Amino acid sequence: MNEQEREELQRDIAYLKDRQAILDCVSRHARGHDRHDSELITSCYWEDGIDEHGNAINAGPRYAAWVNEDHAKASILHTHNLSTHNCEIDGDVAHCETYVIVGLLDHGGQSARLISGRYVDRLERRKGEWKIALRRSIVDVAIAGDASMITYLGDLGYTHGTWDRSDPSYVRPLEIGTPGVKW
Amino acid sequence: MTANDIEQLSRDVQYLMDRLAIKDCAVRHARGCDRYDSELLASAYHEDGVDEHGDAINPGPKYPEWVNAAHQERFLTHTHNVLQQVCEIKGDVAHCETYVIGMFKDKEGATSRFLYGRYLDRLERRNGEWRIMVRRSPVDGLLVGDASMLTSPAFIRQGYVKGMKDERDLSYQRPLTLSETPADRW
Repeated sequence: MNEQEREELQRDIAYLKDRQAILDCVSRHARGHDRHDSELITSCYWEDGIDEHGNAINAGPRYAAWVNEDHAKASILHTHNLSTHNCEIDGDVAHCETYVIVGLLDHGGQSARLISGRYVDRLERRKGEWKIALRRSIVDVAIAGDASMITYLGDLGYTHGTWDRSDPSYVRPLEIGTPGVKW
Repeated sequence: MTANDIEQLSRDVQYLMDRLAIKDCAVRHARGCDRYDSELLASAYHEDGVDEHGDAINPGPKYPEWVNAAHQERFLTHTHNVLQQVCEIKGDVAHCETYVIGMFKDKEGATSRFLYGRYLDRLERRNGEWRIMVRRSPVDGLLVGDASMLTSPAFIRQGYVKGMKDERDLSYQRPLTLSETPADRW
């Protein structure tokens, strides 16, 4: 392998690691939302980072408190499902767009809605770490429907997520039999 | 590290780059659809590529025109949500199956539809670039639901930004800033 090939190999590996790190940041953010994990959510932003959700503009460190309250007002449980993700890296700055389908179970548990939108992000790498400098949120489509039959999942013994560290996703190592909250 | 090790490393990295490039192609296509970006859409196909959507069979370069008109006719807004991709690469040819959820806000009335299906693609790498040669689009299910939430006072009060069908969409802004133009709101 000559010098040029070696350099290209290093560049490719650095690129792959950057793409993964950026997607991981966005994914961690979604997980933070769904577990109401303030520490995790906050870790995705730089201290001087900013988040925009409609009229609500929050400094990175304040965003978690705002969004946990907002989600609790709007629902009893939710998941942020990420899909179409495109990313342009230019040195230490990356612009990415990540589609999200947010599933929200309404208060009362009789209905649910899916909100389809996009996160448009500018991330920055500082000391080798990628975090969000600016996030803007777009809503594109929504669809609502009947969720009243959800209690049948309880009959089958299914568990649902919780908004704290007792959620089974935190258990290490993962084992069958760790208690969860059933529907 | 032996010469063999380095060769294996090289091959592994190439494989990861190829997998990412092939996924990026499907992502580029989805984004092109939702932003009515003909140039971006066309860039997902080779010039001699072909797209099948039901009875509509279009050469790659003609696909943007067809899909933009089809979407514009029926829907206000839509998102093409590209999910997991299973991919087989053999030299310069790749076959992949990409799951997709399409969400569409109907033009008329307060309904939306949720379609789910798969893109079946045969891609070819030419001059280092992976693009679609053949795309087929099976649809596996759908449901129709209520979209009245989008016009409710409670939602409108929150001031969320809307998607745009051209380069005014926030996703084109470089660098991304909080500047007001051209954010259109619900």
